[in-house]
Amino acid sequence: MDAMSTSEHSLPDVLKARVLADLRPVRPLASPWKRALLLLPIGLALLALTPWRYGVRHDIGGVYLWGLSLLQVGVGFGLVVASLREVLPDRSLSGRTQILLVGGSLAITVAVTYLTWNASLSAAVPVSPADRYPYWKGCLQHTVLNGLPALVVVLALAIRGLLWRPALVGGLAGLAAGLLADASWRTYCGVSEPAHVFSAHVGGIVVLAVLGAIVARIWTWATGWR
Amino acid sequence: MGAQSDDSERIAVAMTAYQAGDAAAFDRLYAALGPILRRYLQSLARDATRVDDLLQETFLQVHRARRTYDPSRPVVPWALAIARHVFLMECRTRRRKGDVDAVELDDTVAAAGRGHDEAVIARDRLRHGLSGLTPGTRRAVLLHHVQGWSFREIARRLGINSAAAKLRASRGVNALRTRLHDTDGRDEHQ
Repeated sequence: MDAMSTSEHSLPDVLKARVLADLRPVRPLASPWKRALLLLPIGLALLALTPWRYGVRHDIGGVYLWGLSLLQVGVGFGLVVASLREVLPDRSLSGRTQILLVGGSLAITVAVTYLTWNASLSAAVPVSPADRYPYWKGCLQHTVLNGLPALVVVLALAIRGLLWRPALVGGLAGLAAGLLADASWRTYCGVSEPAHVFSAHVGGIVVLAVLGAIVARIWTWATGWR
Repeated sequence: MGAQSDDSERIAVAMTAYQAGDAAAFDRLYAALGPILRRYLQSLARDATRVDDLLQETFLQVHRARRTYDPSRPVVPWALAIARHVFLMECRTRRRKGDVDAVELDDTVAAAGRGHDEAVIARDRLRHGLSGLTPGTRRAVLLHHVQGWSFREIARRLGINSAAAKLRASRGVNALRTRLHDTDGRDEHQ
């Protein structure tokens, strides 16, 4: 019995050798909130980038323009926190929280689209059928390209934790990056028609979410994390 | 209660020293945390060799993830969460390899996140119920209803056609339901 308990409680040599081979001091990760704050300057810079480079749309008032974009930045920031929380073993997200986060983000995006469309009805510039495709392509490209830096930063922060569910972490990171990018791009794009917004802007957000999930998954395979 | 908080404190001190790169602290951490994690893993997987492997893998993941431990929080829930993840990942890997018999019910009950006592009772009841089925029927039930395989996949695995796989799974569940119902009836009468 003694022998058994000794063997049960003694540290196996293989395990000890593997741990000692890679034992160096590490600094505990800060809380997800504090780490996500790193993204705030990027989010705000993104928000300022489009108006600075292209100007702002004039078909909606300031509250609808900046208020709704700031709301999207806030939601994006919350998703970054969730993504960074998921990589902490004892704080991973429950199924209900995941549904709330993704469903809530989509609901807010739909609400922002509807409110913007409603507010811009009187001053909306009609889009000719010939312009529909170039507008769609431009908005999709800008949303994806503007969101890439934020996606890279969130993933770089996330991989310092434990990526047990890489697709979830990457998907949330991409969703967050997409919302931050769209919050910026919608201050310029004057096309409020839901068909355009859902296919180009929300499409860009979805592309980033899928891209985030794929990159996180590939990273775990490539590094043999699991 | 006092002893328990002393233990928690001892584990937290060892963990913090281990994060700072102290090799001896890992020995102390293993000595203090090992039995707790072993008990937990034993409640999920009964096979002693499997538990040893899972424990070793858990400590390797503890090592890889040591920076995710927040010194202001207790160590044990953090380590148990890692052990649970390791167990579920191992189940997934075995399932992918088609190791049906080894995965069995332990994983289903554990993954459902039940309490320990409830899990043990549920496992025993199901094991008892399944023991009354023929091997082919039992495998069809486990593969379809526990592991989520399609009937076509089961047919390929068991060397039968899809219709036969469907029939076996359906008959198996009906037989299992009857057996569990009979057991409940007997328990109530006792």
